[in-house]
Amino acid sequence: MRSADDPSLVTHHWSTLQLTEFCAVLTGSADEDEVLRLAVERASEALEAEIAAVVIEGEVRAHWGLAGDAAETETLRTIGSARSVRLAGLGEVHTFAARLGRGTGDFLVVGRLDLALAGPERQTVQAMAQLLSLVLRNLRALTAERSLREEQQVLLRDKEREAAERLALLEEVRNRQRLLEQLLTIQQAVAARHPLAQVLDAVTAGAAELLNHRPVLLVLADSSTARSLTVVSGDLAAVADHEAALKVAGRSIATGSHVSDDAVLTTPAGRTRLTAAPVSVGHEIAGSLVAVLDDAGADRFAEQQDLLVAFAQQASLALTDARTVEAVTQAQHDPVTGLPNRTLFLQRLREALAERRDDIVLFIDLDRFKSVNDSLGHRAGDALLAAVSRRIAQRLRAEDMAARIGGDEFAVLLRDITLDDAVRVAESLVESLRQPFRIAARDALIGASVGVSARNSADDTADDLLSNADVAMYTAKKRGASQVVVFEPQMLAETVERLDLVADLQRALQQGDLRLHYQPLVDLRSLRPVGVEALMRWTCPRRGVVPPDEFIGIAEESDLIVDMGLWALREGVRQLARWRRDFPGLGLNLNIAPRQLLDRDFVSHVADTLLIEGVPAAALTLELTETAMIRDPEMAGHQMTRLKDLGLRVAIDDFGTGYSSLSYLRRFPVDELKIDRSFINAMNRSAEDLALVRTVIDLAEALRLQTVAEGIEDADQLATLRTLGCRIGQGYHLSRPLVPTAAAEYLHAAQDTPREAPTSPRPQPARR
Amino acid sequence: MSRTSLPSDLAGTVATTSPDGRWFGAGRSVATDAFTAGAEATAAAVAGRPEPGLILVFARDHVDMQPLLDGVRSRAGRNTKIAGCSTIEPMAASADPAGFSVSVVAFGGDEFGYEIEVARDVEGNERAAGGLAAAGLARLSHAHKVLVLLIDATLTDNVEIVRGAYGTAGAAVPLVGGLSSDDWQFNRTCQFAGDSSGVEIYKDAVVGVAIGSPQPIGLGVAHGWRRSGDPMVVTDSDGLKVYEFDNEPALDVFLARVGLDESVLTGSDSFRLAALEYPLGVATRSGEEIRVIQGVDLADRSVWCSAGIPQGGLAWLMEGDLDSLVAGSTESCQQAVRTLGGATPIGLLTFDCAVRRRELGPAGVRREFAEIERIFPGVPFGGFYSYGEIARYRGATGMHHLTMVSLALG
Repeated sequence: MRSADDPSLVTHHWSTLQLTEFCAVLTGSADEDEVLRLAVERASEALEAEIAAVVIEGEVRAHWGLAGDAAETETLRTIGSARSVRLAGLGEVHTFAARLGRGTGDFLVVGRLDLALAGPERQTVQAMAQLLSLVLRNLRALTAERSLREEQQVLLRDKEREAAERLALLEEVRNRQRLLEQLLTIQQAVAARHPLAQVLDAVTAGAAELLNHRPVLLVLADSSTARSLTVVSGDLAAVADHEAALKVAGRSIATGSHVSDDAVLTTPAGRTRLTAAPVSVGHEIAGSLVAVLDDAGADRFAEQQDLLVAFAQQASLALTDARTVEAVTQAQHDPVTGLPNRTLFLQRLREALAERRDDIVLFIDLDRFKSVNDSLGHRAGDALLAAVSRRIAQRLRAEDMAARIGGDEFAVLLRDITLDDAVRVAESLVESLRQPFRIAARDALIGASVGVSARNSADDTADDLLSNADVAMYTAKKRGASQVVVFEPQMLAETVERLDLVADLQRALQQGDLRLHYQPLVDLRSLRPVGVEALMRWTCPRRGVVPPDEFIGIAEESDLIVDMGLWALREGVRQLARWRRDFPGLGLNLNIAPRQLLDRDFVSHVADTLLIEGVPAAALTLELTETAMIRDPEMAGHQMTRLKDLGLRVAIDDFGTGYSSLSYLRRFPVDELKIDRSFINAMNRSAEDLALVRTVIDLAEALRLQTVAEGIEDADQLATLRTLGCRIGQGYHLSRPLVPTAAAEYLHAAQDTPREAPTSPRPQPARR
Repeated sequence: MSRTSLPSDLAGTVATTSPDGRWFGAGRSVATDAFTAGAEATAAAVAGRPEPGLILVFARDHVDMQPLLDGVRSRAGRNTKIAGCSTIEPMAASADPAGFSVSVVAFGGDEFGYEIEVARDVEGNERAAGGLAAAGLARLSHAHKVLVLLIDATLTDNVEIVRGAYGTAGAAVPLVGGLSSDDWQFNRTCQFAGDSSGVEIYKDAVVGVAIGSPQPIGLGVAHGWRRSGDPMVVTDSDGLKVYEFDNEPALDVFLARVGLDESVLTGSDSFRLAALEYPLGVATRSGEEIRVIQGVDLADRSVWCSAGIPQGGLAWLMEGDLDSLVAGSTESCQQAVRTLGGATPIGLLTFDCAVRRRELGPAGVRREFAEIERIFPGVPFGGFYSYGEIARYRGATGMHHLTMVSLALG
């Protein structure tokens, strides 16, 4: 192994880091001239070179370090493949020019005094040139789309044709943006030294996504046995003719250039051709990225080839960064646990299916791993994963195989076994993982949920089997901790429905189908509104009105809730700013999901939003559930303190239904308790509930917190709460949640007339 | 102007002349009266030679600048260009450094050329300001040119200023200079520019002094800090902010590594001053660049640095002692000799870091000056201790920290 002090490693790593920054800087600009200027500047700085220039269509479009000297600029324009040039005032400069995409005469050239560019440095320049060309094409597509849109406003003729053209262009813009995002993600992964296998999977998956979801394989030549090729990443099963794919890969490795198969295959999805681009480790060609490309027109085909070359370069960078042959062979193993990774697991599973063995797959997901990882640190988390893998291995026979296939996910391949025996193995694994782990001088208690899946039909592929086990695991997880569940086909339907809902919700967020309704918070003595609570509503074009209970929970399971919450924050505060012109004292209550509170950027988003809309922080109350505080008390407390520092108010929502621990009321900076509707609903019928409501109100008074009664549905409840001294309330008896225009009318009406009686009650819908 | 008469003692005089008539002189003054100090140091630098073309003035921040500059003008020629800046401590040959309040270097002879440009209202226009400060170079047609940049230390994006200057100057012109300093107050820095008929005192400005010469110019850059302990991987950073070293909060790792406790975070400037003594080195292609931790964010236990450290990068705590820091000065001067390419030096401009000055102490400074005089025997030198040093000879970047920069004029 090389040490961190190894200068060549540091040098190359430095270049990779610079490349990441280069990509981030370039994609941050929307102006072509600025992109070119940034490209020459950052390229020369990254390489500690003095000179850089971009030549497009024979013209020097940007240069750096030449002080505008016309003769020197002319020299660079015609530099071609020369390894050095003589420049006035500087003398002999070592140069390296990299083309901006294949088949063009455009190039990025970097010039350095004293020392010629070394191999990895030239590779960095190549990657920079490739990135620059992609950024430029993206900008041009954007510009074309914009000018077409402008033309369209003038000329309304040929509407349909132009609309189609615009759509195609828009699609291209989106694709290019996706491409740049993919490349940036990969580079960041390389720079942050993510496991090699993960980076390579990102390369093949990213390329596949952009190549019309055609399969992409990364093939490496085994240096120990000549001519032996191994697929280290990508879905081999999706490639119809393995041999043809490996043959094209072999040709591209042998020639060191990109190669397309002459044979055009006609498939149900259209005409396709195999194409391969070489992948290198340092100076040596080490493998090839192979893809099945659409053979739809020369332009489109050439563009797809360019794209493949760009991803091949990313793979080269990742492999060169990993550097040693050992690291390359470890591409199929997880470095933390030493277990095989997903790629190798699927390969073995495919072999098992090919032999028609009765193998069974277990999908193991650790319970509470994240909280241990978060509280004890990543290093302890890694130690825990290694310990888990050892315990799993101890319970398996020699012929079985365990793999780590994701963050806290493991898979087991049980060879030639009955379903009953497999379930027994799964249960023994669950039992063993429930025992405490001694990590970082502390006992960590986790657990595991296991999904079990056997082959249901002869058509089942390795991916099907693993994904079925995953679906069963999800069901196990929903049933509670430490469960074992065997896959049944109807689970698939439930999963599909859930994924479908997530997809629709994602679309709703993008297309603006989400709305906020506002339920007034009313001073129970004067019956005048003091604020409003924003509540999310969704009308799906396909499903109609979806009740919040059905979509909030699912959004909270995914990261979608963070984006939805951000949208609600911006929309709610924007609306509040408008209303506060007429109602200066009005406040807004906003529900915050645990995941959102724990998001590192959350506090700055809140601060920015308030600043942009010019709303004082004290006008915003964030409602948190007790779950957020229990899940990660340290982070939650930290975030709440930061919010308090901004001047915001914090409320505990649904108080009484969760842990309702006095200790966290002392520990967290809380301003307001919202008494859950279930207690308000029952307090006039049940002495216990009445006592509880009274206790909460007294407790709040003692701690100088404000209480808000939720779900007031009739006049009796209102009267009781007034008697108990509760100051603020909300509920259908006072007002239902209103659309913004109706809410504005309500606020005006409340301002104009003294309110004697609340609005008429309406039926109670579900709310979150 | 005859506000005061000059003392007859011109012991500070050091000046040399080249065969083509160019000359370089350095002077200093211990006078407490600002006008006298300016006049005395200038007279010492000029030393009775023909009219100087350029005078650079480096004066302690507490000096009353207007009378000082009036004093300089009283002893300059009729057409002398004048520039300079405030400093925590001036540098000049052969004297107890603590004793004097101003150093002056003077350039003369027909073969030299000088142009001064000032960029004002720089905040938010850093790149353009750097370009403007370098604009004078285009008016000089000498075989060798150098740009001296004097930048206000309160301008945070100084990297962009130097980048702007490089864009205009190009790779053939070395860049040198420093950030004007004060007595660790970070609010009393200023820059000067003008000529014999009047000198303006600026704040938040960039002064660019373009110098042209028929003879080569040599440049040396070295710091003398060395890596200490194991490297730290920057596992989370964004721009100037570093959130994590080795997956732990950056501030906690830093405090633990240097053995400071939380109490250092309570005083207004105590952490900033303490952090100056423990710079970070960031691995680059050709060695390491020095970063200084300039502040902390207690909310997320992050630190912010004098320049960005990319995520995934390697950083070391750096350590230095008297011997290594003096060795840094030696290396800087030797590089300047090497890049001079055999030409005979007639003068030396020095820009050294104020933190290095603190660490060197009076004894160290005497050793540093002795080294300069050993490598450049009989060559006058002047300059100042700065809050950031500028030196670009190779590559396209030029902002440094905790570094000694020496510019030798052939």
